[in-house]
Amino acid sequence: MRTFIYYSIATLVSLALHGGLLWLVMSTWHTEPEPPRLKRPEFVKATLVELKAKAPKKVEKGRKADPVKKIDLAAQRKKAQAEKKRIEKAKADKKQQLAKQKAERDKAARKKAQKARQAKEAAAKAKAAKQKAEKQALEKKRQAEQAAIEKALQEEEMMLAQQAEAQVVNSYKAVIMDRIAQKWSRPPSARRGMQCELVIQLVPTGKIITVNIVKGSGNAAFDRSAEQAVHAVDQIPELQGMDIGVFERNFRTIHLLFNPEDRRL
Amino acid sequence: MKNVYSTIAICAAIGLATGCTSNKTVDEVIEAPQTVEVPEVIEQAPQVVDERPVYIDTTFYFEFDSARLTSGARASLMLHAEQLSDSPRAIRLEGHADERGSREYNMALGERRANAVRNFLILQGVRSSMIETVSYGEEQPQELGSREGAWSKNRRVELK
Amino acid sequence: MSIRLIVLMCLLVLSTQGYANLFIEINRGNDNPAPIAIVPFAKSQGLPENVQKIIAANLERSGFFKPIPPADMLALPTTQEEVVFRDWRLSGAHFLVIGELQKEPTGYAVSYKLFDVLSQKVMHAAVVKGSDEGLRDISHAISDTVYEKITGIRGIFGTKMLYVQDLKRPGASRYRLMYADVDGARARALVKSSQPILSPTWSNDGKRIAYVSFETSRPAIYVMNLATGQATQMTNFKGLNGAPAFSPDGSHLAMVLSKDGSPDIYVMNIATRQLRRITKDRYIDTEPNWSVDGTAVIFTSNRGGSPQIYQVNVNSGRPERLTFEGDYNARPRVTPDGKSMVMVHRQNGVFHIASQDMASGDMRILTETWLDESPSIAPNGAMLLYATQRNNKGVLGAVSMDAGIKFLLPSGQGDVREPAWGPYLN
Repeated sequence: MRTFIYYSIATLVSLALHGGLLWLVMSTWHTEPEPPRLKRPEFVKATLVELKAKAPKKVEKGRKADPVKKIDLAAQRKKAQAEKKRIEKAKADKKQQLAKQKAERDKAARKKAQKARQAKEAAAKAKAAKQKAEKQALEKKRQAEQAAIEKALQEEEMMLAQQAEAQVVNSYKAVIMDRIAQKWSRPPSARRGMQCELVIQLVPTGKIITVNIVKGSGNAAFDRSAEQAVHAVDQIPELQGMDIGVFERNFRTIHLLFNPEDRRL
Repeated sequence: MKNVYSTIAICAAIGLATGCTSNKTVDEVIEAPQTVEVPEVIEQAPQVVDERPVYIDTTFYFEFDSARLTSGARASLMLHAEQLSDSPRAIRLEGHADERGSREYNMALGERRANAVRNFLILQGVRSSMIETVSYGEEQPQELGSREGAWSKNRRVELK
Repeated sequence: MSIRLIVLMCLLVLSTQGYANLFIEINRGNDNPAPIAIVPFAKSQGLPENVQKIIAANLERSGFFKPIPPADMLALPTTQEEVVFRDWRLSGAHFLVIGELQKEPTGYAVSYKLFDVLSQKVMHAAVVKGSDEGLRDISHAISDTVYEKITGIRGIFGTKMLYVQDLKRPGASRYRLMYADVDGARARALVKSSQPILSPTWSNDGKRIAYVSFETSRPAIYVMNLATGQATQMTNFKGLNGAPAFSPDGSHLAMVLSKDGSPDIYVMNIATRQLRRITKDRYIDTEPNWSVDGTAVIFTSNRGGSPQIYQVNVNSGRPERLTFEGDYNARPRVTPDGKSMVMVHRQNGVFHIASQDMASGDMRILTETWLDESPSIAPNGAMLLYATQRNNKGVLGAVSMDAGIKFLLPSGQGDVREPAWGPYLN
């Protein structure tokens, strides 16, 4: 069952890789000579343009609203001064009677004006705070979107790198498979369906330094033949020229499944 | 003389009839051998022998995996039957097969062939107690070689 | 655009899984013989038998080994201390056998070691003893162990075979029933006769054999005790007395008799000589062979118009046809595991040995020679011997059950045929 799963995964990986690559080649690389790397900026640029166009619009709106409110405040002050002049003229007529009233009224008016001014100022202050918050939120959103784009970009780059690496890995896998198969001399007791899993450790020279059976077939001779095949190969010289990162990520430890599908019995 | 010919004709008819049917029929016929005409044949036999060539085939050939008598074999066997009826002697029929196929199956096949000859002779009036059969299968080929030329000579029954 | 992205994502997911655990499946290999070095044993010079040579020849004949000639060896170590694995690796050896021979008061003692050169490990070490005349037996015993340790299959080099020899010239000893090592050595005649001998067969314990002889000018079945050489005539019926086969427990003989008309299968109790008829029909039924458990007999019959293989339970007696491919299938032999049978099969007019899987009915032709007959399976089920022809001469051939290994045995005088591979002799 386990081996079947391994097998299925291996098949799926292979199928998906091949299918994907084929599809890419057919749909993109074949019809458009441009590599996908050149297509990527288009995708990013489009998003950025949209975002810039949105942000300045909102800022302009906020600036327009500000001067309108300031004009209103100046007019009201002028009005209050005019009223004060008119009260002084009437005061000469009814100086003593109205002196108290005038003082009270003046006081009330001043109070009222002050109140109004204070209210206006508070409103303006609140409005400004609100605008600032809005602006900040907008900035945050923009940043988040920018980050997302950058992340997608990075991922895509990784994807492409890994895809390229997967291709490299697959070609080396085929080399290793071939070298071991050439040395794998099965005992006459080997039968189809027998499976033996080994884990081998390699160094960047391609030399195989350890061989361990992790799952035997139940037939000691068969398992030994698998182990011997690896010992007989001893070194995969093809791995020598490989990028060290690719080696470390893929070839330091390898699982080998010996599965004699070509046996007639 | 006329009598002899008519006897031969009757025998031939019977032979032809039995030869055309399967071995099974031959087997069944043996159980009730038609010995009615035997006395007549014995009375006339000396004359017949005088007029025939002295030599009659003593080896009868067969097809692959078959125990069916050929018409030539039947003709010869009828002459043998006349001779044997005239001067009874113990005979031995040795059945053989060609080298192809398995040895014990060929042993059985050789026996089938010897029995086919035996049954035919009994049908012609030869007493069954005078006939011994034995099969050698492919153990004693008449002709060595691994071609149809040799094989066809080895698929045989020898009358001794 | 988005579909392309999804595909890429899938590739990424799958390939990163691969990165975690690079997995390589080796689903094919070679079936080249494994190179093995059998170093001449210490103190083995000047003896009547060349132990090294016998072991090398045995292993080579199995088809799985390619012995390295001593002339190509860089060193001739006889102790473990002298073994330099690197040198053997350079010689291309995968396995190495070294040993030492000691003369003892009554015979020889051979100590030997088997190495896995590539893993640089001792796989086996043992001492084998034998009589003064037993150097071949010692050699076969070492061959058997080396073979088993490496292949996982019990060796058959120490087993014996019977065969029939026909000198093809009239005389009192024209036909011979021969007894020999399976490599053909130490052949000796158990029976000599001017009349044909055929159908030799073994009892499962290897102590008795049965055969058919025409020495009374008619066929009869004989059983011989191998220890005493005493032969007992078991049958003397009118007609066929043939194709004897010991039951697995050795108490009965299946055979073909035609005493009641046509060839039928009978089973005889060897002790009481009591007969039981198994088949009863007017067709050819012959060549019985027991099923592994002894409950059924498998035989050849032409009841269907051509020879085919049938099976019949010895108690219930209703035959069931087993072969349907081709118009000639005869002389079945069941493998020791009971999973398949081999037979003579005709294809395009040519007779080959074929095997058929009991469960699936799948048939496969094993031999490429022609006029092949008398297949006899080794007790380990890995190979079979059969009779064939080369240059108009009867010779013995061997073929592995997977048809991968085929060779002809060296032949002597006249025709040799009807090999019967003996059981393990413990």
